[in-house]
Amino acid sequence: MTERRFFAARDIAILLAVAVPLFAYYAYMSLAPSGAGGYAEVSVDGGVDAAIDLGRDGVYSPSGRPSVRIAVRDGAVGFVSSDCPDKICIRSGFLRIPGQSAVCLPNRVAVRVTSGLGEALDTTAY
Amino acid sequence: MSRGAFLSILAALAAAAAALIAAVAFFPPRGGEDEGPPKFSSEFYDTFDTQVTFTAFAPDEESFARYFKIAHDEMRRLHRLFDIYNLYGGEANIMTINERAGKSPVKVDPAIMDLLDAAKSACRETGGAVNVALGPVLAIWHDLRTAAREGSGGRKISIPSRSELAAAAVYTSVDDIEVDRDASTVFLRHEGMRLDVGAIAKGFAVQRTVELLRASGLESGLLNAGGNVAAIGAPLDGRGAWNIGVSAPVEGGTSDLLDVLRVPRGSVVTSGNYQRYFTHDGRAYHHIIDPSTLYPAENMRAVTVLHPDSTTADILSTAAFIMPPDAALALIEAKGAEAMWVTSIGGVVMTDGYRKLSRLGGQSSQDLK
Repeated sequence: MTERRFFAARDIAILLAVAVPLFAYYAYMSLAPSGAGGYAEVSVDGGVDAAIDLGRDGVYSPSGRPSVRIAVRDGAVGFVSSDCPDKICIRSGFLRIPGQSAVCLPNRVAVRVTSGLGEALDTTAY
Repeated sequence: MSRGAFLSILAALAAAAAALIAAVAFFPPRGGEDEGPPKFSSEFYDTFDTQVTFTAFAPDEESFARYFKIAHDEMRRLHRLFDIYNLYGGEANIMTINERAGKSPVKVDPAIMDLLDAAKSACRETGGAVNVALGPVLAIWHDLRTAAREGSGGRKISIPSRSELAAAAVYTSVDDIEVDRDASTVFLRHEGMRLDVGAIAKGFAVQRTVELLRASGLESGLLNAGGNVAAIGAPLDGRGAWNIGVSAPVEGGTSDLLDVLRVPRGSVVTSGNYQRYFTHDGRAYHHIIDPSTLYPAENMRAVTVLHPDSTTADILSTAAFIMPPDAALALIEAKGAEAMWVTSIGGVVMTDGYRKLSRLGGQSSQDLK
């Protein structure tokens, strides 16, 4: 057996074989979404009305607001119809970032993304 | 165990440790938000014609509900005092002052005197760009927006002529607002004067309310009144700063974010022309009126201002929207504020201090500065 100094070629191979996958695995776990799809919360007059799964496309009307329709499409949620005059709620578009919200003021209906991809916003200046 | 095998095991362990240290350094672990008290959020709709969202880190739901009530009650009190369209029982408010213009002083709550003193200073500091005495002119535009939105009963909407607006603008000097601290009264010197505190009242109310919340013991929270945001402390989950989205000024979809700011403290206010406007003969007329022309200000699409005080941030966002760009930048710097402008042609300009807090750093946009 030959006398070793410190790192032989085999040790470097072991080092790479251990370190690279470990680093890659941890990095993947850190960056990967913590939950697929995410959820949004609909509130009516300040009270929580429903939680909506953003992983399932569909249309939803909040309690007591039959004219208001909120839709989920491709992981995002937004107002699609309302009897309000300005339609600011519909113009707000579709939301997918946690913390984003849209509101129909005349109907006092708000939708807020509560979980999903990306770092959450605490609030939005608009 | 041979020395070779021992060294190999040592190398593997060292490699594993090094990889973990590197990985944690590059990708900090999540879960910081699990530390400290939980975050609660709820909203109300009965003040300042907008949605007010209150968010706070609180030990439990009961204590959040207590702070929520403090915020709601104070915002409601100030809303009633600053209302120009409704009276509330025997309590004098800004509408009362307008109704008594040129006739008699009105005894008012100190909050109204504080608001009007701040408004008079604001008018001087902004070279007249923010003027609460412009009420007679703003009323013409307000009625037009309402008519355009709700339908004018077949009557054709017409844009007011320059002379019509000038006639309404005869008594619009803030020097004619008399605030008498000794008598606790406010008097508008001329009949026909009319206050419109829309450019300042929301910021003032938000500032007063966050001060009250802080004095009531709240360590960490956010109050957002229709996009007028103020922070109490920093978030208690170890992040050190709040993530505040800034909407892109796009008429077709305001959910697009222009930026995300990391704000450790203070207030963020945006003024924009992309939400409140009406269209006539294919042209959009928005709600921010330039006192020097009496027509909607045209230079900008949106301005976002950061300042420790929400009243100042609110005033500056309107001023920086209306004023010529050079004067606006000088004012922002003089007041120790930070700002980002989106010009009418879509260019983005930001102060250095804004850029430091901006997560996107204007990457996605053209920087004209």
